[in-house]
Amino acid sequence: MNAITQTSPTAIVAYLVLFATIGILFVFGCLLLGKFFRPRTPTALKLETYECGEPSVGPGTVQFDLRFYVVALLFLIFEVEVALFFPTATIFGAATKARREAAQTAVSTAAPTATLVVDKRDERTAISPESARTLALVSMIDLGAFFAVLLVGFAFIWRRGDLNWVRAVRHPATSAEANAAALRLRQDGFPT
Amino acid sequence: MNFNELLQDVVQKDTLASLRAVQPELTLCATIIAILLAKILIPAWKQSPFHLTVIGLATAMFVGFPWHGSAAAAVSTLAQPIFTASLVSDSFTTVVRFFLLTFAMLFAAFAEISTDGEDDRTEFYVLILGALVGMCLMISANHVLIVLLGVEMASVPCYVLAGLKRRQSKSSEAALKYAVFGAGAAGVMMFGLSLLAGGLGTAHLPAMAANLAKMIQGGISPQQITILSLGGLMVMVGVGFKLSAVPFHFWAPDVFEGATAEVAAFLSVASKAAALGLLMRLCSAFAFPADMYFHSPIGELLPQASLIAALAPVRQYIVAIVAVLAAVTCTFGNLAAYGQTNMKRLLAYSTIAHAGYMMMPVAAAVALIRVGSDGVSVDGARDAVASLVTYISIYLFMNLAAFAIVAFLRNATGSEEIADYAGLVRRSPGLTVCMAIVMFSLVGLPPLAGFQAKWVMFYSLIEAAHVCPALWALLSVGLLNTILSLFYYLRVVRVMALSPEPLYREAPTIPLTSMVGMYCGLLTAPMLLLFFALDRVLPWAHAAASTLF
Repeated sequence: MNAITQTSPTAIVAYLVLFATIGILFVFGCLLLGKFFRPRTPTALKLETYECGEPSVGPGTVQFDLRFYVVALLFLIFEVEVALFFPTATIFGAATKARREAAQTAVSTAAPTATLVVDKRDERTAISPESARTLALVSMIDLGAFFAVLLVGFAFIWRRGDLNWVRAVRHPATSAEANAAALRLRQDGFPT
Repeated sequence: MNFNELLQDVVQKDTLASLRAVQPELTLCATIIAILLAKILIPAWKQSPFHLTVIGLATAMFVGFPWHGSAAAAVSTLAQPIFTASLVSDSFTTVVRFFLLTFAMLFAAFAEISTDGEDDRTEFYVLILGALVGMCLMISANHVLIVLLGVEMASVPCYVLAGLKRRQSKSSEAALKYAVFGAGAAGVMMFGLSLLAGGLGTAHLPAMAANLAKMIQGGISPQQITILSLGGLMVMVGVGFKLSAVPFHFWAPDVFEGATAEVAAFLSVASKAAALGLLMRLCSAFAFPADMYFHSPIGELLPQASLIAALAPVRQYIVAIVAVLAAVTCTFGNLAAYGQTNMKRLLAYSTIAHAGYMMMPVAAAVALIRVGSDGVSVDGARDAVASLVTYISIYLFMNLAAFAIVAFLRNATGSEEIADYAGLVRRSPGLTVCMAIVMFSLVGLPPLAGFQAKWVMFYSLIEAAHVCPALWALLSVGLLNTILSLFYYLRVVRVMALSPEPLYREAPTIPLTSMVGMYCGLLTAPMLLLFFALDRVLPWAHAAASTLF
């Protein structure tokens, strides 16, 4: 098989299908193999949900608290934000480095119009200190605007109380109500 | 051009000019931030941020006003690719954006009148403004990524808006259905766009068309045709979802029923207008990639006329898809509206049917690009686009008025069933007359604006049918549907005017002199005014069309 047929779209798809098939078969093959070897003792204890002895509480299809989703969503936003920071930060770092190096070259050779040639073979990729400065400045402004807008949203949800694990009730509880609640909790065995 | 010059060009020329061109969008963003900041900094401020919204929208309308003075002069200075040609700011953007902002202004007033003292006002206005920014991106998209970004930015706030009534299970159900359907459609659209971008070697829409033209001239293989046409179909899935075109309309009736009438009005008008703008953009990019949509002139790549001549099969493909979708959407929407007992579901199907009508001029515009021995003729295509823009401008008032009356009647009677509207003419004659005018206008009967909208649209379709005979079928479908739609629209009017009042319902008295009545009157007046003063809208519409083709 020569190199051209190996990189044709059909060949690529065929490889993909091959890998997927082997991967799927591997899982079921292992399960099947285990079925032949493992002992089969269907006692009542063995069929428990948690074989280790932990008693199961309630059905498995419980409804998760909505607050978990809110936290997950917020986490997602800030995670994506960090991912978006990286390219800008890389450019900022590269630009400031290029500028510093260009400045040093200018000092050492005393040539005020020195330019830093990143790639010696190609004049088109040369970057001047002014360009490096512009690049760093623009990336900083970009990042600042992006982050500022995001922070406004963050401050809003904070103010709105979405970050409170225990949501504030609309009417603050009176001290009598709070005491009653604390008493109830203590009776239920919660440390207060 | 070396790196330094490129950087200086992007930072100093392109970005500054671009920021100037997107002032209305920036104003909307600033308004959103101002509303949020106001809520953060002034916790005691319990009122709805209606005033801030109105100030923001008014500023956006002012800075984005299509032109000061003569139309022709403004158009020539307006057309420019911005943000390194990922967006395009031309008269189509400006005019459609102005319509969207006008609608948003009327809509904000409607939302403020019909709902009072609810907690979620801040979120409501912020989401509305956010969706508006996305819609502005949709109508000015010139790049695959912006198409996707615009569609998502316009859709995601709408999912939340649909579920704003958290205590009602129907509202939550609507939001979930909408979100799931939207995610699926966006996924398919993304797949299609990646197929197109991969197959054509670029993600810049007009450059994609130029590459496609080169491929067609150099002989295109059947595999490439398969991939590209598949990509085109998949993109139409995404656009069809936004347009609620059949067969991607399933979300519309459920979402309209579950969401409040206010949100339904927003989805029915703004979302649809933006989707039509996007469809028009995509069609124009692939059917007629004009020089001005490139960052640098494409003359060096290929002479304009031969490029457009080479794209003839692409135009046939676009016309076929859009025409078939339009015919099916229109017919299905009208037929399904018959069985509805809920007013919002009826209006949802009416919206679907109107999406079908509004896709017809798109097909006509693409069909009307003629390449002869004496060059390219686009006059007919411009007329067709102008008819679409006219339709959008009239539809804006019609549908907002319909939903506004539904919302006001809901506030008064607590019901959105058509049967509960019985005999309203006795207690609220003014409102009933408004509703009747709106319904007649939706059918397209003279002397109302809906007639003018349909007239210019069908006229451009007749012009197109002379070029492409298959469009006679589309024209007849459109005319037949207009007659079909007569019956279910008039059923509403009949129930309101002729049926006896039900005993269990206290008939609400909504006089025309009340705030609500005056608002309805304000929205209904354009139905009559625009019929006689259509020549006030037509220059705008023609200016909008003049840069697209």
